[in-house]
Amino acid sequence: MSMTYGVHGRVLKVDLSSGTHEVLEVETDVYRQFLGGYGLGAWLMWHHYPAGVDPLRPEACFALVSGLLTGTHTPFSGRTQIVGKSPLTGSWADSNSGGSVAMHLREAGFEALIVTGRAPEPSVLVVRDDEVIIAPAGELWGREIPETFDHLKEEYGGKSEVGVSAIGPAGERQARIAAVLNDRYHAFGRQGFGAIYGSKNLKAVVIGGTGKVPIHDRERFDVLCQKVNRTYKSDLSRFMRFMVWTTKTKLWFGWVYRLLTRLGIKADLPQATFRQAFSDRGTTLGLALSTENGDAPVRNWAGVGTRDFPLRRALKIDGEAVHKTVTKKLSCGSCPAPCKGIVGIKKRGLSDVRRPDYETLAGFGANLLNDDLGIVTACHDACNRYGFDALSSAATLGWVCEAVEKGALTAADLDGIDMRWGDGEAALALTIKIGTGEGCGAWLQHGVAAAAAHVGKGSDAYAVHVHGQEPAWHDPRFTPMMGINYIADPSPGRHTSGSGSWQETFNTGFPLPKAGLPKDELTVSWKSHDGKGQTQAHYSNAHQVLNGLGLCMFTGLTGNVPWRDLLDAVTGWGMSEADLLESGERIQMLRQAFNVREGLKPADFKPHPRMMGQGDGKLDAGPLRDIEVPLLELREAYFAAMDWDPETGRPSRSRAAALGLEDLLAPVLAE
Amino acid sequence: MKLRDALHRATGRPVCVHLIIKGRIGTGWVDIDRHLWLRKGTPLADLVPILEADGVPFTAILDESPHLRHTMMLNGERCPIEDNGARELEDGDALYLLAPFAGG
Repeated sequence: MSMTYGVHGRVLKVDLSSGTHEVLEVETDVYRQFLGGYGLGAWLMWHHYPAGVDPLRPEACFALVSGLLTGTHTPFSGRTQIVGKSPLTGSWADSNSGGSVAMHLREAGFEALIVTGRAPEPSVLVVRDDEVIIAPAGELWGREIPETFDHLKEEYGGKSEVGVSAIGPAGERQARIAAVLNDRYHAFGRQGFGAIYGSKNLKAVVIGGTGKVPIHDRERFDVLCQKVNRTYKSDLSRFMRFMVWTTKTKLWFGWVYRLLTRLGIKADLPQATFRQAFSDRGTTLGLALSTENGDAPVRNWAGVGTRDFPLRRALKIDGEAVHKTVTKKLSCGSCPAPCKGIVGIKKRGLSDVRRPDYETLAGFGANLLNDDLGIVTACHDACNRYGFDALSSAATLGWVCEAVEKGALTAADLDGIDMRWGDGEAALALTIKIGTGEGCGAWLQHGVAAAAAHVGKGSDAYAVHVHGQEPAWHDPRFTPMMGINYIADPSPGRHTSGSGSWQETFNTGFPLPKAGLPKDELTVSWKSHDGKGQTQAHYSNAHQVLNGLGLCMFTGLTGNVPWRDLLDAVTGWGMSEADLLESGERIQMLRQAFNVREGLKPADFKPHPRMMGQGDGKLDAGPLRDIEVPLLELREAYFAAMDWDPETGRPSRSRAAALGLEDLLAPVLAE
Repeated sequence: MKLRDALHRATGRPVCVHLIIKGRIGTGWVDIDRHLWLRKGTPLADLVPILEADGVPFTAILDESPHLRHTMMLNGERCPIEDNGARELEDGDALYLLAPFAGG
């Protein structure tokens, strides 16, 4: 019998209702076709999720999944993924987080853990190699995230021994925007996975193992990993920091540069400058850029950043200001350029808080016209304590501000809190209410669509969401390709599921350059809509490869991670970049097929008019003035490029056949 | 008025423009925040050679990231260089070239 490398070929399935478990064998060919991560997850959900079932019912299931490179200590592979059906949108759901859970899952000998059923009492699921225990959660139920993790660490060990995935009180109450926290600081934030844990009486999953992923060519793999690590570590070294410092134009290098240019020698900005900036600040470095350029929507998508939240205010919550509050660096794991942090703000008594990143700063800051970094950090702390999505909650508060302004809500409806634009203290008070579910928190905790339905009075007109999911703080009026992603991806409203917006705005290269795609299909002009559907199709497929491997999406910006070579060294499968891209397309098709099976159609994922520059979304000033984006046409172009029916969403039989999925997806294919 | 400002004005450069260039440009990161003193009537188009002479690799920046031609902003409004080359810069203008940072 030949040895299999790179995968265990095993998935653990646990039924919390009966307290039983089984190990499912998975053929290597499944991994070759769908890789790991969302790909394997989509394949598992296709086979195990009961079609049409409410995701909060006991018979529904979800799965924690590992990418194929996760657990091998490949640089940037410290990611954990989850798949299922969203209680917020009723669609396909997946989420990607930092942390060691997937690494431990693989060390326990599995690529995935499927959880179904509902435990008779609040429980903690413990997996240690082949041992599976469903232990009573006891007093843990009801506890906030920090206490929960402290307790579990005491009982089961730190993250070098086990990976822990847990919910806070918001998840226990099945708040539809509840998150799952991994290793305390990293979150499956979007799509309401916390509510799914809560519906299963599952407080936490604890996973540890003693095994290893078998590597096909250890020597080659080590060389590849060392090369990646060396590149990043040399760029982040003190020497390189000094060299980059000398290139500041105010310093002497400005004179050198002048001389070089006069001699006709082009001096490039070293990539090290970006790697350092990103490793130091993470996504926080984009806040002021985004509010000023129009990427970050303000005032619930109806404001103008340059006017309502000008640069001098945005800089108060931008990367440099946030960086001053960082007390400790934080990494996802296996990362040579950690970009996260722990912060503390003395005057608000905050310590040991995960640093707010771009989405939190834009949501609780720019969106609400709040430039108090202490308040933003406190809101973020509340999200992470009670366990709910910072993005959805901030979007809901933006809607509250507008509802108060328009008279649909009063302070009396909000337990006496007079929520107005720029009132950070009121925002914090409401954020805590969402976390506790008390008073108005009971109807704010399910996101903006549910809140608008509760209030009525026409407030749904300014509830910005796509089929229940609040879009991220990236405006399609600025990056139309992000808009395509919001309404065309099987997981609506998401910004991390494969937008080609970095190509659109940064001119970043395609991550699989040897896949054989025509160059003109991989580049777009920012100011034109031509070809964006096709380009978005390629980028969304490539993004699924990234998830399938379990790598960090920001390597798309920082570069130099050879996906194909790493996978080949681990598995020995000899897949080309074209093969990988085909796997990416299979994953994307399977995610879409899940939605078709659930009865969803493309038209269900409606963009809010403000996202397209229509109605009061047509701005009268600023960088987005008068901009309209034909998002529905762009979605049609995307569907055409994917060979999916634009009316029904069904993938074509011919394309499915070309990908070898004709039999698997037969019930949902279009003729 | 500060002595430095007075000197600039006395030497025939009375127009002070606040310039910020920031963001991922090409594959690197640029972070420039400075005040430029210009002659009266200096058009926007002259900014490129002025910056080049002052050690800011502006031409290279635009070559590497052509979309930046569209993101130039003057006093809070889009002001693409190519469409506004003749526009004269005025004292107190704020000129930002902030590279887009979408996604993440």
